[in-house]
Amino acid sequence: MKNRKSRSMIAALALSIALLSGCSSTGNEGNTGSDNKGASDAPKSSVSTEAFNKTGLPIVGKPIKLTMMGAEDMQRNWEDLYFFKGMEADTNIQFDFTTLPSSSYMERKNLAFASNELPDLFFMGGLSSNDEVNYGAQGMLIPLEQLIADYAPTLTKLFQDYPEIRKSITAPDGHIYALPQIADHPRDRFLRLFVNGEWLKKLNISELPKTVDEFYDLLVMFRDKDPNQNGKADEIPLTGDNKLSYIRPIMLSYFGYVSDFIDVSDDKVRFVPVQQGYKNYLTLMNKLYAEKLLDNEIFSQNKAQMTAKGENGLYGVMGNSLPVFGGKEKQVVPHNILDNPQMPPLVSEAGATPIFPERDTIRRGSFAITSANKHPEATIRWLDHLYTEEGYLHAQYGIEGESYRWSDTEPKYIEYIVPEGMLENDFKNMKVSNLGYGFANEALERKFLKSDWLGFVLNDQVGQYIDHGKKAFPLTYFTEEELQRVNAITVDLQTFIEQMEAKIVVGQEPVSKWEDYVQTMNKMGVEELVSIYQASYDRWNSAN
Amino acid sequence: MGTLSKNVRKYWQLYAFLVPALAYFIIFHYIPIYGAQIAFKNYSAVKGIWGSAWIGFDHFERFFNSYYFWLLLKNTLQINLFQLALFPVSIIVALSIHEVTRARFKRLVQLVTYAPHFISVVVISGMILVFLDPSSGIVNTIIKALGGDPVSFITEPGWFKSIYVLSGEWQNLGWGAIIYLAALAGINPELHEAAQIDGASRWQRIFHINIPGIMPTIMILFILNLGSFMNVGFEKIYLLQNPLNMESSEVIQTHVYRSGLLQAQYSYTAAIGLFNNLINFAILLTFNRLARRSGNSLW
Repeated sequence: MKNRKSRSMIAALALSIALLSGCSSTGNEGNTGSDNKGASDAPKSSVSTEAFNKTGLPIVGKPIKLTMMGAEDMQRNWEDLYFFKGMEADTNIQFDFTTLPSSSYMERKNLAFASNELPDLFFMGGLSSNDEVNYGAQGMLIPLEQLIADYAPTLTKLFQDYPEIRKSITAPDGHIYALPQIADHPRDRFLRLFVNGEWLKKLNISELPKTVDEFYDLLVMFRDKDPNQNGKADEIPLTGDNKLSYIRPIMLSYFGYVSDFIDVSDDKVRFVPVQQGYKNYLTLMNKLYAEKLLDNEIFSQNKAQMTAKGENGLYGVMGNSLPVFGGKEKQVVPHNILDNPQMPPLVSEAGATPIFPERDTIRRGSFAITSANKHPEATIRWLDHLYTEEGYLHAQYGIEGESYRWSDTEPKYIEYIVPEGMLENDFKNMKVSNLGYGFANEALERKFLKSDWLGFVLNDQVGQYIDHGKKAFPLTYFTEEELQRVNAITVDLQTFIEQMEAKIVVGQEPVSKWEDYVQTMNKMGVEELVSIYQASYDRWNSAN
Repeated sequence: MGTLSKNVRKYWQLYAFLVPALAYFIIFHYIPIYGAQIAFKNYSAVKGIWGSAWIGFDHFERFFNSYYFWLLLKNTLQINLFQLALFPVSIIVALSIHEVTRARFKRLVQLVTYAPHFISVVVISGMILVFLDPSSGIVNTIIKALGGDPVSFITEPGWFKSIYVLSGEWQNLGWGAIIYLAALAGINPELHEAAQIDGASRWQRIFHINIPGIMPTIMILFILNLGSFMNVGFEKIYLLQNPLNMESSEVIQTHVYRSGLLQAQYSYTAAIGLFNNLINFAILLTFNRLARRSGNSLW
């Protein structure tokens, strides 16, 4: 009897312990990746016992360890990267990394703020302007302008050379809460709409379209004349990445808009989906869809499916960062870029001079220091180092003698020291970095790279856009009150527009229905939204 | 009270078994309820849940006045009513399996029907997308072979709810039948023997012995189902959603995800969640009261 009693007691205890430990372990589950140790090789210089050096390297005498959070899609460990090892060797600052795939990053970033469990540093942190204003005002992101003035000579100089940077990253309360990545590359300023060069040759087309009508004719020819010569009418003349989101701004530019939401024309903010030209855009897209000129699976397919169709040689015109017109053997750079031309800006009824959407090369919200950071001075110096040429070299090529060396040729260029049996691209992506530099432009790249590098080829190709490029909306900020209203209106509105567009394009609803939709959108608060954007634009404009 | 403390002292081992479950519910299900107050506040992480400023019913008003309110409510209700209408399917499956006399065949049927339960939602959604693909999916290939026009199931709003509910039913009907099978096994065989001697047919035995025998189980599972009436499995809807079927696929849960986690509007979405739970709770109370009349209520 007694024996049975104690046995049952033990069972009860064991049960409760198992349950409790089960609970506590779920609490830690989310932290995968953060509990990795820092770079393996211990820092060599511990001569200086001074904790922090205001100038010169290393930044701290004794190594310090901070935490870092960022989005990462290539499934590599940041602690393995020569980039961070090189930075650590220079600065003595180590990091614990928390990286997440970008699909779940936004969620986790928001939760980090909501629970006030912050990393010391956001790196390639994808902070929106809303995040900066919101969490800056709440004190979770610390103001950087004084730190920059005191400790960051490279950044200070960069701000002097490019005055628009400071203007673009200063929040309405006058503080800078996050630093941008400056990718001053022509190739990144424009979306790309590639035309299948092989098909052009097959059909003896030597000139690309100049007007929307000619573009339409080209698509019809791609559909009807069997350019892939398999005897089947399986050609899909036009497609784009991520539903319509890649090609939408390009197509809208044919109707006089450079954004699918808000743009500015003559200092006046316009809400694009209620403009007459938007209806014309819908009409054209509906026609393309109905005549099977636009990929009929564009709304339901994912990127892998699109790529698969591209590798089967089904596409004629593709909006994507790189063209996929055939199998891997045809996707070899730079020929892939050189052989498949990009669609020039087109003339339409909207205007005799074509326009083309241009993106900013200042990527806001890339790096930010949080209130959890106990070493803001050292961190800002680490970031400042990132913007230097040495920082750029680490970020792109790693450590000299370990991951890269200079070639013996004249002129010299950088080559990776790729381990036996590894592809250069894999080595670059998995071991070095290809992650995030602070500042780069073509002049900088020219110092290190062969002149036939893909990026230069792409840079050369944007010539036809530069004169026609137009930015949708400047990099501005909203105040906190504005932000709340903008958020409240935008969520529903964007969902609504996406739905309406899809329904009209595939023909579930007639184009004439758009008039009713305009009424609904106005009811959803378009007017207020425009006035808030206008106020924000006016503030930006007067600061000019 | 006196008898309770006496009982606890006497049977303390049995009460010790209660402790872990009780602790679990108190720690993870009751204590966090205090967070629901952010539905009436403007939550800011720095000020914390207690420190954020009260704003009353603003978030509720915003939700009730939002353009999508009626659509969300309609879709959520329709999908759930559809699911509820299929509630008897598991019972029918259990009754038929129970009638199978060959043990081997019985086990095979059971395995085949409940195996899909173990496939993850992500995989199921992927399978649905592949099978229903308008150009290469097996379903449309068959339709085309029979001379029909391919149907774009996944972008057609009219199809969404059927796809969602029927695929869910396919996945879970075998699993749902297990509890009924257990209840059926518990019916006293003497009842069947007596009925057989009296000349009752199979149908008569099913209707007069088996169904009444598992009625309490049916009622309890039905009430439990109603308790989560307004909750739709978020993952599967999100994975099957696209802008073309959104008018029939956007439900309260996906809306909460979109505006809560992605847009960081925690207070607003807490208000929506609270509203949702209040409806659930009200339904649960109502039906439990109704069920009490038949003596099969939860409490």
